[in-house]
Amino acid sequence: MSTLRKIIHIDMDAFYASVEQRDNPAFRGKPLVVGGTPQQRGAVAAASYEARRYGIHSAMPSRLAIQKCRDLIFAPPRFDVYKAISEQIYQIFLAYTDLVEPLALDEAYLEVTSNKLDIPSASLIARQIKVTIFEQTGLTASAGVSYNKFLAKLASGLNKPDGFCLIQPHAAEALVESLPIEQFYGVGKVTAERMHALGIRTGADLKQWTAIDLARHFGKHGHFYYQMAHGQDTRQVVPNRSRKSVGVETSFLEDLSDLDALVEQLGMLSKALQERLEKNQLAGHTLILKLKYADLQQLTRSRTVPELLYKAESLFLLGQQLLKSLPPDERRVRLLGLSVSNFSKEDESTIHTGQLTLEFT
Amino acid sequence: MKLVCGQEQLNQNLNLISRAVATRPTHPILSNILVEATDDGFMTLTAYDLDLGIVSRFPAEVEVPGRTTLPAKYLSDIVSKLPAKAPITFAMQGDDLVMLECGFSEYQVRAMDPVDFPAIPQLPEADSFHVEVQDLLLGLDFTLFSASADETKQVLTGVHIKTAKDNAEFAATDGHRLAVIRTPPVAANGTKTAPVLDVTIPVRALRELQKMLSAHTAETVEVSLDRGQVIFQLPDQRLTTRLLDGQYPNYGQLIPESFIRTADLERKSFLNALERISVLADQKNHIVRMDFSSTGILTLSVDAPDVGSGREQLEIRYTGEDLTIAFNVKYLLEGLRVIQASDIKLQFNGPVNPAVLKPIDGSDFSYLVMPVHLRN
Repeated sequence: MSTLRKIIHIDMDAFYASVEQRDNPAFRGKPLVVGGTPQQRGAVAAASYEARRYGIHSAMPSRLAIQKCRDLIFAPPRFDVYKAISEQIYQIFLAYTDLVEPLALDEAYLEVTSNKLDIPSASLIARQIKVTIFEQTGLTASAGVSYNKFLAKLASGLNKPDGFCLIQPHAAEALVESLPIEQFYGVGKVTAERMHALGIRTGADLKQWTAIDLARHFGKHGHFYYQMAHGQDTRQVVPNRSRKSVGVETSFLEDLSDLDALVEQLGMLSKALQERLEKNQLAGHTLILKLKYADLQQLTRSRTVPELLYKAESLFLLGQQLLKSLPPDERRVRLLGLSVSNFSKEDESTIHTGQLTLEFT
Repeated sequence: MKLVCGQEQLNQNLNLISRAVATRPTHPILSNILVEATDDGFMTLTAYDLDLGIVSRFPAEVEVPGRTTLPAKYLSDIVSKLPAKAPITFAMQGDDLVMLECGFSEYQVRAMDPVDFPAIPQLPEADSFHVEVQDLLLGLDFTLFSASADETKQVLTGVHIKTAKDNAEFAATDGHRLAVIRTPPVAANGTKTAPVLDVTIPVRALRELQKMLSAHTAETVEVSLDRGQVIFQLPDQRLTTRLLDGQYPNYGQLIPESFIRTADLERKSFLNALERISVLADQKNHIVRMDFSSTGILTLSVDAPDVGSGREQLEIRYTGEDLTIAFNVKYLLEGLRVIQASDIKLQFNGPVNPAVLKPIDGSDFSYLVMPVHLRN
């Protein structure tokens, strides 16, 4: 590899928990977890930073979490909301590069070696992305920048929350050497124990080993550990999803406050969206409603259904349900948008035509 | 490792295995191919993406036996551009470099340790059986096109193969059409001990198998099967693939037992007319409208807004009441193209019921197509 790549890893801070605190002012600054309650025998899906101070972390049984903090708030997960925000963030990434590889709803790798805006500094891009995410969603993210995936991900975890860290090539060596073996990509509990048995506890220990000896002990992963120990990671950033959406939106001449007026606009948007979908021969399973208030704060709600969405009537019906599910808000609405995502991979020509299907039983 | 081989053979064999190279490798070595040179004078190439594996070998002058792995893409791209019939020399240089020489061309390609290359599943030879290449190709030619390309449809992305005592049934469906063919019965032959199969094999692997079998002169292929894997073995080539899990739909009950309308047509003129119609139909929604008249005339028509419209008429033998029905023209074309018979039979009940297309030549092929519901 002749030129060094520029990789960014973006990781939303305590994502699910932060979304709940954003949407419920009463939860802010308090220990909160998203997940099932102890009565439901639930587990923690995400913990706010306030909760983490009590030693609460994700995957912990809720019963144990409540023992650690009596005032712990349990919020039920709202995956539709998290997905819609994730999509919003994804769109921010796309402004810089198409080489975006989401790992989950709350983290992604971006390769910006060359990028759409010709910004030479990956650090600058990472900082811009953090700012834009905060402006558009009110949430903070941590960013790590380096020349490969392993180091970029390592970097994003170093100054959490709202962190930024750049690992430059000359600093990588010392950092990797000082790293406990458990923090290497691909080293789980079992591998870590086997490494400990071989006297490997840090990156420096690992570096003493040859690729052949590592392969002898760890099979095909051995080669990978060898590369990691030497700060090398050739894994590419693979844009592995076809999460695209087709949408329409409209800004009003005068901000609207009346629900009936919004429903009327929604009707027109539904028809326009059907046309757009037909033109692109697409149909999807998820409908996303976007609302921007007069103070420019933006909100999205989505719903996923088993049937294919492409007809104006069904878009309108589902859109209304989303609109009416919003909490009452005094603010006037400046913009309304409707989009469909989660496209069917079905042969596009069969969707809009009335093609009949075989009925398997 | 050191060997000399011919450009043409190497290029052919690289093409043959290329589809089994991982396109999105989970480990860097999966984008490499395993290259082996053995004492018995063969060069063996292996590609394996953990689902599909292809091994192919051909004679080469082996000077020093050995094995290594090379990046599939660079190797294929370089070899394909070298002059045909030119001898190519491969020589290992140290642990991780291979020198490739051909005439005045000289390339050094970075190799990776073959220790890391995953082993292709091996099945016990004892359980293998032989299948006629001709029968297998017949089954594949008549069904592959009908399977689903939508990965989310899982079991429908494969061809279902079911064997009985003396023949086999191949079926593929994407939920809109279904192709079923039964191979001709094999004359009772005491040595035949093929087990009764009931498997679904991914189309992706079968397309490679089809390519491999078509290019080979062997009359039979050795098949072995284990839970989850099937292996096809030819004298110098081997293909192994994961089977698709899950219950294949009970398609037999989808084919109607009786029809109230039947049309006999000449295949070629029907196909030609549909191909012309599809020029306009493909611009819009692929819909062709068909009007069957009891006077023995079939009218095909297309109406593509903003593009134009067209009409074709054919003389047919028709029994039953007049019928107006519409189809995705692609489905009809794909079915008509695999059939060789000069005449075909179309069978219908009503405009929203499945239609069945069959060759009139005694072969046991049925192609069921769901119509498009016309919304005036």
